[in-house]
Amino acid sequence: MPSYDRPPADLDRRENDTVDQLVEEYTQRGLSRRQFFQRAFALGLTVSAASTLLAACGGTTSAAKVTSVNLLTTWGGEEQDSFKAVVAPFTQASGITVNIEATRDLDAVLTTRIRGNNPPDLAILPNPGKMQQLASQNKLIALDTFLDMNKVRADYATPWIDLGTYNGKLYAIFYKAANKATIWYSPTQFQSNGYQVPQTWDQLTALSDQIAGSGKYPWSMGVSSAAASGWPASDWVAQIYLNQSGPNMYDQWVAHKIPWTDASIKTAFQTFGRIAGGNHYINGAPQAILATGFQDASYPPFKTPPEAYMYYLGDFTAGFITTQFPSLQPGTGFNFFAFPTITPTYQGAVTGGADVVVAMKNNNGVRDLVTYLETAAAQTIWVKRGGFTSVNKSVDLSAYPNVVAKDSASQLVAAPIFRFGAGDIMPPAVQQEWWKGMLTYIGDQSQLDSVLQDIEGVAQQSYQS
Amino acid sequence: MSTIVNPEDSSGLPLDVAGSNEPAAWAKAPPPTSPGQRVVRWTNNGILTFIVVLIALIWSVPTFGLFVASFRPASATQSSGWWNGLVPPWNFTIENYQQVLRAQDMGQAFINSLIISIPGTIIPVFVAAFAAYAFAWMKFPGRDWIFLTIVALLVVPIQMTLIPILGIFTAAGITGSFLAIWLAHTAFGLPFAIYLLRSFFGALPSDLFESATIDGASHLRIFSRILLPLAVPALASLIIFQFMWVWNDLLVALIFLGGSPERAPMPVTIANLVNSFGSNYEVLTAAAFISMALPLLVFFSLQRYFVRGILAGSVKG
Amino acid sequence: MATTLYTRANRPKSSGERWARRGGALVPWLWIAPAILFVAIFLLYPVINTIWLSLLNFDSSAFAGLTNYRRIFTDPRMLLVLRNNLLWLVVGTVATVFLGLVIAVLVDRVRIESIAKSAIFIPMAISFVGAGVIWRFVYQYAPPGQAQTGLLNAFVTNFGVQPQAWLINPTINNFALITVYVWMWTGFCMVILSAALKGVPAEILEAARVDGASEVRIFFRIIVPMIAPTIAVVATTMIINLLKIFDIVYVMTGGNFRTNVVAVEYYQQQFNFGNFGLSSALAVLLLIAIIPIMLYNIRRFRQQEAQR
Repeated sequence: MPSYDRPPADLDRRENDTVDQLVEEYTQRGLSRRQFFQRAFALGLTVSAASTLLAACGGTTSAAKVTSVNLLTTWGGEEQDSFKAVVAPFTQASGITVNIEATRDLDAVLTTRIRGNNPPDLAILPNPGKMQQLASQNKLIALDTFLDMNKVRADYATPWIDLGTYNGKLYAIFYKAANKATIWYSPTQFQSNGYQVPQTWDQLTALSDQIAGSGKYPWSMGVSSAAASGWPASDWVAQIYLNQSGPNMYDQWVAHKIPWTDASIKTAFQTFGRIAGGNHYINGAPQAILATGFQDASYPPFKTPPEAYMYYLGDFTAGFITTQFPSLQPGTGFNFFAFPTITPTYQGAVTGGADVVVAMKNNNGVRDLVTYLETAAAQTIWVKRGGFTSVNKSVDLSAYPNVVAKDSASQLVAAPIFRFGAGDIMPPAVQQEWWKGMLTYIGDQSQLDSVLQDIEGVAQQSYQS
Repeated sequence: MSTIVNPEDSSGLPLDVAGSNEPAAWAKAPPPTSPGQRVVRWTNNGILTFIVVLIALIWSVPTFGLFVASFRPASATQSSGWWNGLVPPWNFTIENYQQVLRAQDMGQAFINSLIISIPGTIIPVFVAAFAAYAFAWMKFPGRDWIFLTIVALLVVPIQMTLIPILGIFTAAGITGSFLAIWLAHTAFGLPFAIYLLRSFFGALPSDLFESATIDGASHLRIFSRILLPLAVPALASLIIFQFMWVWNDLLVALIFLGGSPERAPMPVTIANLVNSFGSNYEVLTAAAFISMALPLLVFFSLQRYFVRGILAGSVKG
Repeated sequence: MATTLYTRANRPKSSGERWARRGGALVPWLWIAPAILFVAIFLLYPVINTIWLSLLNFDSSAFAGLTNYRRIFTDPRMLLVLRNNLLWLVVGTVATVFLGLVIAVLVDRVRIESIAKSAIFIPMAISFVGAGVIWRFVYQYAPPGQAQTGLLNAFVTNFGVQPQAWLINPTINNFALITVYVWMWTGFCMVILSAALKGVPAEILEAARVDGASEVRIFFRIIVPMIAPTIAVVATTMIINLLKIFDIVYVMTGGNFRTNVVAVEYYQQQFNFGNFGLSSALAVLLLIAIIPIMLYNIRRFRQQEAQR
């Protein structure tokens, strides 16, 4: 039976010697691929087994020097322009070109290419959960075999290194980070209306009621994002959970030590639900929340006259606002306030996200590029261009282009409690089900129990594997 | 009979794509009638034309909206409907087009698209023509079942084949080459091409082949001298469809050209213009029109093969 | 020539049949060999592989029998997917073929035929990415009181109707998506049907008119029966297309809000949820669904051959 989807575990033990010999000849005597396959077929290997074997050879040996590496990412447009600016000095110094391929359907393309034995040299994943999955399947190259780990430890806080580690080996470095404890507002509007920036959740709801009471809409919200719709709402719930139940519970939730049907999770959903379904908080809710793109939803607080006053989403929202309203001044025209305190013990808790750099092949190009990307110098290039938050401690805060970006970065680095966004470190299947569940819940809050049960069902299957 | 189309069995297939140059005789040249009837007919024609214009307009509105939006600045597109761009004060810009055309490698991507699409269209059409001829005009055991299996495979979602095929290509060492993507497009295009051509070939009357048989012509001769000329309209429409599908393909290119961005076709390069949040999607408005230009050119240039009469003329001789 | 009594056994073969038997037994195989080779490697091999995977569990580590199939027919979420696909199949096929036929007949009688046909055909040439943006401009929703940037909502709010979330509301969203398909594919049906229409001899239609038959009667009694084989070809193509409908749903709703269809669910189960067993079973279901259509086509082809 075709077995392309599994490693060649079916290699017969008594054939192992000859297979070993084949591998040795390929790696040391420079057998051509064609010769390799002819020999492999003669040994009775299937096409798939042989190609998996070949891929494995490519992964462990590194005799040949490469002059270019392929990198798969979700970055396009101005993000890709900035990344190209980052790698330009690298290419100039090393002579190794970096071929960037971008797709917004990264999971599917990467899964297909790995299973089809044609992985890219490197990939930049938006979710460490995917990295953990690939590491457990033995698809990734351990980075600590060539990185100077003392330098890595000096540059990154321990939680970041832990997140990139699987079974004691470092597989990922964190590159482009996001602070997800940011609520966006217009200081100008707050001032002219006499609104106070809320410090606690009670103050936040009081302010919301005050605005709603004056016949205006306090909140803007939009969770539409094509096939990934629902993720902005899951960010809400993760941030609420951390502020409400604290880091210990959060860790247990993420590791599925407590079930999704637990009271603490239900409470977090309901806390979010009071904003999403609140007393005339959002124009056109719940339909408008589901139908509006997360980017479009960031505009209403900054229109003249404003159509809403607050919007929650990660620090990348600044990019949407400045593109749509280029005349707004950072700090006065638009700004963010920190997610308010729910349980006083967990004051200042911050969730965040980050894209991670992982390697699927071990060659000089990959090693040099990862080593370069880890440095503060490489990250500072993008920091200065804007739209980039670094978690590298050696990146100087003064490099950020404006006060908003700088405040966001310092909040992220200095947070007393920091946790990675829950969805991004869960198994991808759980994250997907959670996103879908958020849509169902926003549309009809009475379905909360069945939504949580559905996610729990997927979680039970995903965590056991 | 003045035409070869048999009234009992006119499964005449794509002979015409954008309309023949001459109107259908029975519709447009009414027989002599009284003045009163002529007025009725004229009014009917007026109503008919009105309905057709209406349908064509409704069909064009969404595309027209895209066209207008492609000339509006991004912030305007986000905040007001495209129709607002039609009233003064006009605020048109070619920035979206500049952004697409300025993009690195767009010229190379256009050439790559041609390199992919031309063989990706011609190979499957020819392979299918041979097979369709055999399925329609030869008898061999299991013929219908083989045909049925091939056409049934039309229902296979492409996503299902990607991993196994990529495995084969990688084993053969051709992943990332143009050859790989030509082979893939040939395979994906074959079932429909065989189905369409077999339907067309099968509908031709057998007397066509009669005289050739008597002359002792070989299959190959019949195929190339009689069938292919007759099938030009069918082949032309098949070429249009296949070309459009290959030209606009993103998924197959993304997977099988993976690792060779220097060979990326236009859809891949265009996808690179959109950031990971999909928030600058306005560039896609301009990109859609730029990438549509060539398929439409192919469509209009092949139009002349759809003239009614090619079929009848070649048969009568 | 002596009179011959024709029986089933010795009746003279039609010229087509005689033609078909010409040449050696090997010849036909040479003609279809390239096609067979392509199809076997690139389509049949993945299919067989998929059938096998559909009998295994979610990560292909154990045999699961028909568990995956049982789940498809019991899990409410999967049943919804099947229901949606059926809706697409029926509404999509009827709408594209009917509209394609009507438009082909109408444009055949006016002087602006070429322009009108081009207008209907152009959506086929637009890349799917472009089409996604186009329909975003049509279905876009903004809450009441805000500027409507979607054409449809701008239109209905003009008449004092509340703006609708066309892609969210489960009573209309499936139809909103099918409309996009109809917009894209009616041109395909029209092109092929129009070609067949040109083959209907003018004399027959004129004769019917002289006899006083109405245009509607001519359409249903003469035109439709005469181009029935082409209608069958077009309808078959649409049915197959609709069975595996993917792009429109994936791009516009991601299968959310009760709009999911088999191919999208297949994709998500495989690439997002990593359930290879269930996803493969869904794909196999598509292959099973196509069998009756194929049998009908075989029957049709055999009739056609008997007649020529």
